[in-house]
Amino acid sequence: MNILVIGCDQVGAALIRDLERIGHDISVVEKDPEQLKRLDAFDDYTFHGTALVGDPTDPDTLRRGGVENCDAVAAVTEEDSVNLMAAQLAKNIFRRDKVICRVSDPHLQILYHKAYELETICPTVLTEQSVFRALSK
Amino acid sequence: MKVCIAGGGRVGMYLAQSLLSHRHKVTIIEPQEALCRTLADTLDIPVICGDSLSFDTLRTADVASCDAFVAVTNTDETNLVACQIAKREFGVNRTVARASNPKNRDILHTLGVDTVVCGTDNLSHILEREIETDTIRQLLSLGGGTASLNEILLPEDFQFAGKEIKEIPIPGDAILVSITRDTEFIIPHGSTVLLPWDRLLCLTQDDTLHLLMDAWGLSSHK
Repeated sequence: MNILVIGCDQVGAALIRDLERIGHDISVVEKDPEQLKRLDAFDDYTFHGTALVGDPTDPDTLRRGGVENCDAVAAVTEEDSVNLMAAQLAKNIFRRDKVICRVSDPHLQILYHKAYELETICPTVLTEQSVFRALSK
Repeated sequence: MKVCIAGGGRVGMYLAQSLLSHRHKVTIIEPQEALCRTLADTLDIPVICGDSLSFDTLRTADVASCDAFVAVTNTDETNLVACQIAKREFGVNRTVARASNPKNRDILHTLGVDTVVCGTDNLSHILEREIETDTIRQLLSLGGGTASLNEILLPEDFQFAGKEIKEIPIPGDAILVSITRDTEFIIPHGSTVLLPWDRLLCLTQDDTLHLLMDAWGLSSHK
């Protein structure tokens, strides 16, 4: 699959590595060029995809990142509002079917899942559940 | 009317003052504490110090009871998400967002914001016109900045001078409203003749104005 990843912090970089390892073609859009250096910092992996520095809430940036021809989009920057806007651009403006959005605020996650039908992942909830499970063993 | 403003920067503050002077009830949400203090000292209104995307903050600001929610922070994505929360979670009827990036103006509207105002766009249109030529002056911005009423001063070497209006090309959607010639005021018809130094009032769509200026040889960068 062609996958557009938005954001290259620790989550984004690890995601890109894992997706490339199982054979997907990755294009990444990141606002901060410093963050892209993470892709070169792995010992056992080299990035082969396309990286683009730009504002992911700008439709032209997404277009240059290949949003029109990709099979899936993952908006995983550290900022909820950036992810929510980029994901809605991908889903509602560029009509991508598979769009995954990282949302740290659990309230926002529920709202956007229910009212805006976005596929959302909430790291806060996942962490809490993991810790809870670890403690209740 | 009760209005909640997200973003207490310059735009938010002037908007609040203007709404207050029209006797509306205003609440401001602003994350920076120092700015909140200035706002609270300057305006006699509730200022909520917090993140405008936090449900708790929005609840404290009693957004659910507002008739309108206006997001004027300097990031478009914050304005979008704040308006969407106000609408879907708190049931605010009327949402207004500021778009800094002109490309986001239509997009924010498509994504559910009722009214989108693009300051950059409006301002750059006005500046562009002022810089482009001194023969044209915008008098009134219409249709949310998509159209305008303009005054055009025909130059001494106007290429269609002495011609009737019906012989002159008028591209796109434009209406010549009136002509002021010295002290004479003329409502133009097809057979009215245009002369140098005429002042025309012209109603146009913004994309049409360029076409008109080009067709009449009035663009300064010839």
